[in-house]
Amino acid sequence: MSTRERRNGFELVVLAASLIAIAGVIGGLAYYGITSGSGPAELETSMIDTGKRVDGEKVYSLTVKNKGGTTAEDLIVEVTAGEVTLEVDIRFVTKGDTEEAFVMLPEGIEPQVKIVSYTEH
Amino acid sequence: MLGATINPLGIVALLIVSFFLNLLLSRYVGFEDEAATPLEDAIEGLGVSIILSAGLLFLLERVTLDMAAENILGVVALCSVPISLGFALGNALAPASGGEGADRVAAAGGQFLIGAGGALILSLNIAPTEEPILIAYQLEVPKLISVVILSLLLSYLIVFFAEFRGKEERLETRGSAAAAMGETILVYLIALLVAGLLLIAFSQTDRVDIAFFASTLVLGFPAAMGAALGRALL
Repeated sequence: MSTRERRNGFELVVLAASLIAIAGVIGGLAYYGITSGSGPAELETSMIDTGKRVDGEKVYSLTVKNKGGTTAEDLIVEVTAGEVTLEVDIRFVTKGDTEEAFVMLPEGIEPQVKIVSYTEH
Repeated sequence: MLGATINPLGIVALLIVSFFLNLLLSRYVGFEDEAATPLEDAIEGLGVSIILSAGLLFLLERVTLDMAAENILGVVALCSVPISLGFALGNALAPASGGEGADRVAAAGGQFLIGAGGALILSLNIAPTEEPILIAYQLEVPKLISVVILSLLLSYLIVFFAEFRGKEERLETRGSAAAAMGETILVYLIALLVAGLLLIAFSQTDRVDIAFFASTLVLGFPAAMGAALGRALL
């Protein structure tokens, strides 16, 4: 015969929540581990005018989305608007994620974005 | 962000190893809770660590809902591994009747001294880094207030509710929940003082302003955990 004490309601709730948390995290990671791609990083850039102006310049939101299966690290992104060229450093963009940076450029010129370099993790 | 860059199946393997380590520690060291089996202890240790990690990472904005679900799970899982092992190991480190000389330091403000020591140990390695300043800069006031509330709540729970040995004695000594909470607030203030002095000592600020105060609150979180653990383990 066991002399073990009975668990109270709170302890049962903690145990149930713990089971759900473990199952959720392990199940989710296993699912993504099996189904997510493992190919190279696929980077997609976009520039959106935020509508803000600072010192007569437009503020743009630069986003880099990684649609590939590998994290891209140490990105150097070049933004050009007429004579002005800016270099934006982004530490990393993990697979499936989007990173954002803000740049200020002269008005009236459509900016061009180019990813100069990155490494794959 | 390591959890977002390594293979999810590798993290699953790490979680499984961590779970079995928890199971072994629960079996051979064990918490005092007589209502739980080692398996239940191990499930609670890892499960609560996952929940706690997720809460803290969201609160400190280390993970956000616009991140990919796979990356959120990876970061939370990796963060939970050392926390879960800490739960089990903490109990192993706590002597059954308190540390040597524990009955002497328990009186005459000894708890505050232990709290300051614990706060110093846990925040000493974090204070010279840029993380407290960076996190404080990124957090809005409501989040900073949440950090303070969480620091107090977790400190209280660690000292007076976690199933570390000697919990009953600590509760009996304080007499009432209000006295226990009062002591928790005082020790938290000491932890904040330690955190603030460390930031000054490591030249992380050149003036006392709102930014310094916010950084102190952020560094005050690990300091408060160190203070609480010191009190719980001694």
